[in-house]
Amino acid sequence: MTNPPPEEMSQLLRDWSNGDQEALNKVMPIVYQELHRLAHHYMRRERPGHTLQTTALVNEAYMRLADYKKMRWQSRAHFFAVAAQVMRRILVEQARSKNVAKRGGGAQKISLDETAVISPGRSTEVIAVDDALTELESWDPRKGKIVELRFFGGLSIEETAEVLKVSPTTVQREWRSAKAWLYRAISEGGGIEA
Amino acid sequence: MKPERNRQIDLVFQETLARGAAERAAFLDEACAGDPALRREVEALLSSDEEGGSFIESPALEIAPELVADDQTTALAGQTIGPYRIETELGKGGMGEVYLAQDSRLRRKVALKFLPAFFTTDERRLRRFEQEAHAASALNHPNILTIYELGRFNDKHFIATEFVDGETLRQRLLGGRMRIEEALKVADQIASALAASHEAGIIHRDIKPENIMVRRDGIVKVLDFGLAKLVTPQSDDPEAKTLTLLKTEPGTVMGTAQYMSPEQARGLHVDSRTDIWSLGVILYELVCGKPPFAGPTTSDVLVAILDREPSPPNPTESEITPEFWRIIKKALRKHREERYQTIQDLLFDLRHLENETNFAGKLQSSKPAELSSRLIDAESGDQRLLKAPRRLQVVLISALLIGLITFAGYKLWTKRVSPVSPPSPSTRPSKHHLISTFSGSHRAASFSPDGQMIAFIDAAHGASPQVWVKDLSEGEPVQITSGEDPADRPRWSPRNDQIVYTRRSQGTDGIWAVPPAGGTSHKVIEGGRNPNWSADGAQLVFERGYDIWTAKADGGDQRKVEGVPPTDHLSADRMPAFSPDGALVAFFQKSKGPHGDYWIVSSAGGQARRLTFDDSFGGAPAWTPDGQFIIFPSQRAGSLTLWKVPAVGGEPEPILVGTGEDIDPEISRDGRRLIYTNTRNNFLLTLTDPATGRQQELHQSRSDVVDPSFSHQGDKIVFFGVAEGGGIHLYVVNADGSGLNQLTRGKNEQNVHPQWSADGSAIYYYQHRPTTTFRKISLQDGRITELAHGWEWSTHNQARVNPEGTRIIYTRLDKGKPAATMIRDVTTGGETAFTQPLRFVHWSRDGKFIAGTKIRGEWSDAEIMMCPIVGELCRALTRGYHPVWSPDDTLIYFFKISSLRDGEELWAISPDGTGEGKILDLLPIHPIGQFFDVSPTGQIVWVQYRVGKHELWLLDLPAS
Repeated sequence: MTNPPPEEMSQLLRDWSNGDQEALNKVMPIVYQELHRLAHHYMRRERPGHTLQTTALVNEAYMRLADYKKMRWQSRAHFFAVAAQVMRRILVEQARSKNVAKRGGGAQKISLDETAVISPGRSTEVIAVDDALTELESWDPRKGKIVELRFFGGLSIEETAEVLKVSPTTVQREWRSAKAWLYRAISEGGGIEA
Repeated sequence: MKPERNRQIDLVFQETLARGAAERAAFLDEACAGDPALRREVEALLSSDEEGGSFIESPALEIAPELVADDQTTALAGQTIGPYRIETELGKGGMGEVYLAQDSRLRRKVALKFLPAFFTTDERRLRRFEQEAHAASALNHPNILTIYELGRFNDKHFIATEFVDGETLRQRLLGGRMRIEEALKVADQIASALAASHEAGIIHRDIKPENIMVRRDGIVKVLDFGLAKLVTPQSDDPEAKTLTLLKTEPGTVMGTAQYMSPEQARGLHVDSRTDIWSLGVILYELVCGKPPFAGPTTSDVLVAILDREPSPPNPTESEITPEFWRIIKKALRKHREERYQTIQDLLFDLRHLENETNFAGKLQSSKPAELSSRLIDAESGDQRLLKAPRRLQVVLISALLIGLITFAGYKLWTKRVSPVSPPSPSTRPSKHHLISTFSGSHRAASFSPDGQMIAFIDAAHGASPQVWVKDLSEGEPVQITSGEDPADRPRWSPRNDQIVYTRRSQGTDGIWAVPPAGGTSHKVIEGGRNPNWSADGAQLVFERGYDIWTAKADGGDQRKVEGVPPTDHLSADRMPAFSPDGALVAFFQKSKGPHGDYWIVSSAGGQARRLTFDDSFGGAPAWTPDGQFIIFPSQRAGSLTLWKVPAVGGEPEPILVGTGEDIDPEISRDGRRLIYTNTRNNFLLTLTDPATGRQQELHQSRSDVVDPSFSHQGDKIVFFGVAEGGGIHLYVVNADGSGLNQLTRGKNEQNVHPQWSADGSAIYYYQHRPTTTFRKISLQDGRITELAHGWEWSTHNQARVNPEGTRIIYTRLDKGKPAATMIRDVTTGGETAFTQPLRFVHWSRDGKFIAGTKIRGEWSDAEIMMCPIVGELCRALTRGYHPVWSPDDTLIYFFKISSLRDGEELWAISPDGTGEGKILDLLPIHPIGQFFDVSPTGQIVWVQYRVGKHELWLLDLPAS
């Protein structure tokens, strides 16, 4: 009765985009729950090695949660923004707990050569990106948002541009710069707390 | 580094990137003149840019999918293995995963248990297991699980068995100990199963609550005969044997050890007497609620099994009788020679005790005795008092008086004063008062600790709902909260210092508190909702997100209650309620849309136990002050009224009768008064003529009326709804509102979403209970023909039969899979996929076209599609959803996306895409019942939903 009915999801998202942080607090746990559930569900169905499509996942969560009948596109963009944050939280939490379990919590340096290879042990990279991203966000929130939407939310350059209401060229430029900052922070930073 | 510096570096870096390689050096010389540090930073970034390559270009989830996977097992749900179509996972344990599957040959549900590969590598042992499992099953005993097949899929061995619709004894025990009568019934059936298997020379070796299922009708099934032998290696090292047996259930090692006989614990050769011991352990646990041999580690448990005598049951926690205690002790003799030698001997004693107990029960009900006694457990010499409850004391005394049996070693002692405990509500209340004699719409009342006052919600005159209090004997109600933010579900603290309630502020829930006399509210729990008190007022149970939480009265020490089953329903409200001692939480769990059942979970977390099996509409439950019963609203017998069910499980009994809808029960602390909310919502089957605007109400009900449609001739309407007496049934009514007739009648059946055959001689519909089928009922002779098995509305959505009755089109909606529209041949059962997924598919009357809804990404982009059935070349007509052909095939009616809050805009368009226009607004329409149909004369049938006034009622309950 007091959980938000679907039509309120769009309102909450609008409120949040208008600067109401409370609205986000309300939306986050629901999106978290749903994405987590869906991701698990997919992982259980798909064969090992199969690629999970982040945007498909988010789309489905969105279809299930939001008042899809009456929701405008803007709300959908807000939803993706929230979903990217949530995906970040899910993945980083999981990565941290896996690494703690695997390595007994010790410090871990990663080799960036690994990044081209799809392999287990990517959890360390996810944590490293999250740490470096937190630092990047502290002085350039827009770059931070772009990385969050692209890397954790799975959005394309064009989609990211739509969500942030900037041109794709800007996203492309900022993305390239952000990548360089993150890559440098991770490769030079060396020790990464797992 | 400082933010400003970083931004400076970034600016130069980006400017450099924007330039060609040739220009870069010159640009850097200029931009970094006099600042070599800046240049170093920029150059470092430039090399990162070059080296980075594909770094983070793939989304995190795609490169590290294992991060969201619990384990790497490939789940089998949805797969077909031989004749078995696997539906859902039922459970997982050390002995493998268990799935519910459909046997397509025999059309029955089966359970498939996959054995872990570890145990199936030794072919010889596997064969022996197969022999033994088959031999036990072949006994054909009602309490032994029937095995259909032992099979193999890839490298995995599986057992196909009968599907038991119920819970394991372990799940049952999580809700607390059993009453003596129930325990005896269960034990009797386990013993019978063992007697039959022992006779055939089969020892179970692993009798434990996890291996015993209790069906919903009370029938007990013993599982896994022969399995223990499969997992015990043929080793001569006794210790290795013990350890292997313990390892069979990772994570539940303790559970297994606790039921081991001393000879098993020692790793010795076992015989049938090991099963007798294990049953003894279960007997103890059934009536005491805890195992006799326990300890913090497996070693401690094994030591206890080998050396310690089980402690006599705590008299305040058990109603165990001396005779029952004697039986348990005899089954739990350390030396097997001193134990019951055969299971038949044990069974004999159990049956004897059962008869006595039943006899005493009858005696008591005909002649309430005031006898009570104090007993000494003379056998153990323990001077502990065994306070048997009254009914069983009667057994002893009456038995002595009548001289049937003697209780050697027990003496009757002096009278015991029975403690005063609050009564449970009787099913016949003595007096009924209307509290809402003043204006407004009142609901969700909560008693003050002395039961003289109530707090409730009033949502009068369109104002936002707020908390009010009223003295029940006199005086006007007083508003104690105010503001624009709506308040809900006030709960008066047993300490009388505050009333907590849910307040929704700027889209966020919070639990707030206000003094009962009024004053300033303050927030107690951020993000919480639906609070409820423990009886001592020290703790709150509440909801946040999809979870149940507990906290101290001041909001501190918040803990999530683990073990609550997850829900798919967006409105996840479970309305948790503490048992009076705060140890348990009762809640309503939605499973099929808004329908669901009541469950109990330990407030410290644990596996939740299902208490009702109705799949019915429900709401907030309440406990009786003695903790014996849960009071709950349910549509289980038709209208939404209040019921009670024993907290330990059992058959629900009605507390109220009537048309309902009765919700939000609460009982005063002295157990003498029940307050609840009576709501007056109406479903109106409505016929609207768009030409004149004339609206006619054909049928009115206080409970659901859903999915009406016209016969092709337009003279009759079929719909479904909740029937008086329970179940969901089909109804037919004449188009003028006369001749309402309930078409299906089976008790507790659920028959939904009917549609007419073209000639009006039959109706197609889904049956969700007791079968899961898509079927047809003849209106001439009532004969039922099954068209598809395993179909339910939510998975095989919107099945529509063509006018010739030869094909069914439906939309397959499997969670996590894209929707797929299928066409099924009625005679052959063969299926083909339609070219594109459509929802709400509807045949034209000539059977040559279908109209459907295409959903691409968002519902607001949904389009009405028109497709010739030959060639399947679909054409988008317009934005909208839920198309319905007019009977002459000249128009397609549909809903347009609109901003109407509690209604739908009905539009129509010609099938060639021209002449679109609005027909009328349908409102107020039920949020989940958005169905309509069009008659040959263009009349629209639909269901109006009117939310009515809420009233508070009070019942005086007789002392029991």
